[in-house]
Amino acid sequence: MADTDKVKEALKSFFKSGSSYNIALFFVLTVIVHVIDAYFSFDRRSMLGYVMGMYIFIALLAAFFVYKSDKILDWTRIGACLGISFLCIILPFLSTKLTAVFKLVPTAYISGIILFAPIWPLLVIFSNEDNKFVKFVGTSYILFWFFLFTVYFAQNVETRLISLNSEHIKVLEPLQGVWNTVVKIAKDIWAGLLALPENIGKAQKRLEAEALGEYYTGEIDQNAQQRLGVYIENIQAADSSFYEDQPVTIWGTLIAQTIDEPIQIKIGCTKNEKDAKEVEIYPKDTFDIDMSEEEGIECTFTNRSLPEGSHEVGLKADFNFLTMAYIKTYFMDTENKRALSSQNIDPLDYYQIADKEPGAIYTNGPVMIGLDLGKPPLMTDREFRFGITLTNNWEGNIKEVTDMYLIMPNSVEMGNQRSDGYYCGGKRNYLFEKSSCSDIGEEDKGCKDSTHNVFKMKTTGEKIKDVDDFETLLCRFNIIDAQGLLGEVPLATRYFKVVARYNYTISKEIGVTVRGGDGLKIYFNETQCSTTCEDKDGCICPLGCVINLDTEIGKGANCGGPKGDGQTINLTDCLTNCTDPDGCICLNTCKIQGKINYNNDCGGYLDNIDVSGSGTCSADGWKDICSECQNARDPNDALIYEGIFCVNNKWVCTNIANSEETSYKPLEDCP
Amino acid sequence: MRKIFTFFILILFLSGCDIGNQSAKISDEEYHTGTEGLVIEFMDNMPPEKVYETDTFPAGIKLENKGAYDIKNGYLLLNIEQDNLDLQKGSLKRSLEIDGRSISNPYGESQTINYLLKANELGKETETLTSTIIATECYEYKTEFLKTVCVDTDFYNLKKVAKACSSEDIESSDGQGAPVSISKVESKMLEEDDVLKPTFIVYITNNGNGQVINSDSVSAACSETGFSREDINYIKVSSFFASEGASLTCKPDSVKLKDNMAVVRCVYEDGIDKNKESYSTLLKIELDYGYTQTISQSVQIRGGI
Repeated sequence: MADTDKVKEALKSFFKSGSSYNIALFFVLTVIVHVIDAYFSFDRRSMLGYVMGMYIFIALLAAFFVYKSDKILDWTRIGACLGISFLCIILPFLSTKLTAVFKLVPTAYISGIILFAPIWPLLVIFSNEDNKFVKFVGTSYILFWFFLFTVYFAQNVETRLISLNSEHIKVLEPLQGVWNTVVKIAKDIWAGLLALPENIGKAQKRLEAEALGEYYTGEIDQNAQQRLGVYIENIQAADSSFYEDQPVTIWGTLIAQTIDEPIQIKIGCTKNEKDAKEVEIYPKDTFDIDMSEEEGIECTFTNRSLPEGSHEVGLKADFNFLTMAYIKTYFMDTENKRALSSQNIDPLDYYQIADKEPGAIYTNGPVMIGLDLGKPPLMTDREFRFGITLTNNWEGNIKEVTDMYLIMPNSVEMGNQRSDGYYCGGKRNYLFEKSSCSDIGEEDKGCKDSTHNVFKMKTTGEKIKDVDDFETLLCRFNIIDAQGLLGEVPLATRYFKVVARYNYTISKEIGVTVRGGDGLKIYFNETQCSTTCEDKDGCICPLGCVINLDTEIGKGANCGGPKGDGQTINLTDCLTNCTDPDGCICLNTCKIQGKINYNNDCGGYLDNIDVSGSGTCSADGWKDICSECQNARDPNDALIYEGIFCVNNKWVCTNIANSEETSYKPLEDCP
Repeated sequence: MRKIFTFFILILFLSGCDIGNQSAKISDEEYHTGTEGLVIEFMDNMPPEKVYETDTFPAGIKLENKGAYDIKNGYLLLNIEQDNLDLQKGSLKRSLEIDGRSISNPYGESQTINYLLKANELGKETETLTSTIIATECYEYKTEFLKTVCVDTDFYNLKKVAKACSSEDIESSDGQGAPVSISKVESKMLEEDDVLKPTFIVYITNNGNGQVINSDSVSAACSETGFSREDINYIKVSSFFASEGASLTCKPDSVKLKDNMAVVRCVYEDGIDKNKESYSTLLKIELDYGYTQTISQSVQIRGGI
């Protein structure tokens, strides 16, 4: 807390010299600059110069006029203000890099933070609490966020309440839902953290490749309104938890959009990131899309296909897709370029070329195709490099690139020709062969066999497959007809295109919990209060037991015991049922000895009871011997022996002794 | 009353004569002022900003010779992206002959050149594409500088007689009715073997938005060949005293502009007897060069989806 105060004081002292009016005006100016920046989508490429100008202006305004110090040149202050502005300039640029590394944080969150948490206005708000205007705006800002949070929270709770399907609202349920969400987010973050080294590795690879000039990017056609590709959205489960005896059903919406190339989609289901087999897919597992389609799809995991525990189950779509990309570049006669350069004239400026560094434009979809041809204008007397990078733009996987075509003007052809084809380097050895526009289905649509050369990746060569992040091909092109390439003009604009067909897999998962049992609880009756619950679903205790009303008991526990007297009954034989809720004590001669529970018996008599032994065959000695022989009964409690024969203090139970013998004692004479 | 009326008529007559003379003088200078040559621009909405694939659309280029020299050797080159556009009507390269401003044509001649273009079908799944149309003009042009200068035989004012005129530097910021202009002429008198050699330091500036080239490579500049290193910024300079028809020697006689500027020294090598009285004469300096300028306009081609 003390530290927070210190920081606050430091900020206040930093901004102390600003007059109230100046600060209010400055605050408005910072907001205007932020709005302008936001209006241009925080563009740090074409707008960089303007953006830098605006933020540097703000920094200098702050340092020299608004928060001016006693010293004319307070370098610390100037540096701090410029530093803040630098942060404003660099943050949107960094966000794209950060999301590549911290994949756990969605891009939308970072964009939201940049949009709704402008650095300069917030600094002014929280460092000038004395300024009424700024204070008012600051309070409004916090209330605005509170309002947003409340609406968001309310919507979430409402959704959960609607889904309860109960006659009365259980207050704890929404909280449980929120808790589950919190747990899920925590799990996601944990998963993200676990994946962090891998993501850093990927980002590192990209940076290294960029540094080596072997990673090329592109932009989606900004004017394209169509959302091309295949998407699975709104994935939901019938419930957040299921019983293992029940089928588990999840569903989602499949959205597919293509313009020209038909898409075939194969739907599947996943269980813990692996393909699930015991599933039923509804309405069908294959879709053929010619244009666009939106369809609800369901996956039902049959009974007991998901064991007890937590599972990530999902919907999966395998589909073929086509991505096209093009890049334009400019060609000039070598001497012409040199002539202009020798006079310090930029050839592209001279020919009024606005797009001086044209980038690749690719069609929307799961794969970004980045292209690079080097810095234009290219000279017509030499070969040049053509770099192609396929980047996995979505969360899924590029399973395999089935076709790849390179389209170029017919005055250009691929270099690096070998006996088995035209070779491109990179991660693998890629081989191409000559093809035609009709092979792609592009004849008269941006590709004419009379004006274009087409090369196709050979199916016999190494294929591009299982691309987790990106893969780059490095090709070389030769100009075979410089005059034809230029035509009649000194600066010719030419297009190079790449068409890639590939199979892609996307999946969306949702977490479900499977509980053991069938969802039905066993009800104990009044005499079962001490009985151990053996049902996975739990048991319900009878009224009057120690467990509270409606309280459920889990497997392995009991209701805590009946309302007995606390005394056990000593059973006199081994076959009688125990009717005491406190339990009973069995005889030593029973198969079960010691204490038994209510409604159990002692399991009958022991079979191997002694029928002979040593003892005193007179007075009290008879008592013990009689007892032995009397207990030797059959399972029906019938006496087995009639008397005892005893000689020299050695006795044996018998049925055959003559009753007149002095050493014989009938059991009926026993004491 | 009659005398007053006669005086009034006379004043009016004389004034009229004066006004007439002044008008002719101003007009003559006006044609040789300005820093524009052949002005090139796309016509409004030709080409349009957006077209759809397979659309045929017009492109118009307006050319106005706002300089004082008649173009007899000029070219217009249309540069379109052949992957995206087809020329349906017109030719990519055409020659130009456009008269400049003169007494008979005070505003200069203007021409409009129209083309008909067709947007090619876009590739599969390409929704929009921006194509650039470039137009380049290349023409031979001339700058004429004609001013009265003083051949001051007493440059250092050593003679004890009144001079008819004194040597002065001439500065001109208005140009001479051409994109390349002479911005300043400094007058000097060099004495050599009892002979005075009038010397003029000529400052040349490219005030236009285009590029100066050798007048001999005008056609090449509007072709796939483009420029050679020697041709860029190349200007031929010549000078003479118009009254006497005497040529001056300019060094160098072919100058290359550097940062759009160059300086030339022109000397009357024959010299003048230093005992001769100072006198005024017309100095004419001519710059011969080619000039080329490019404009461009983007067209967004949209797919027919």
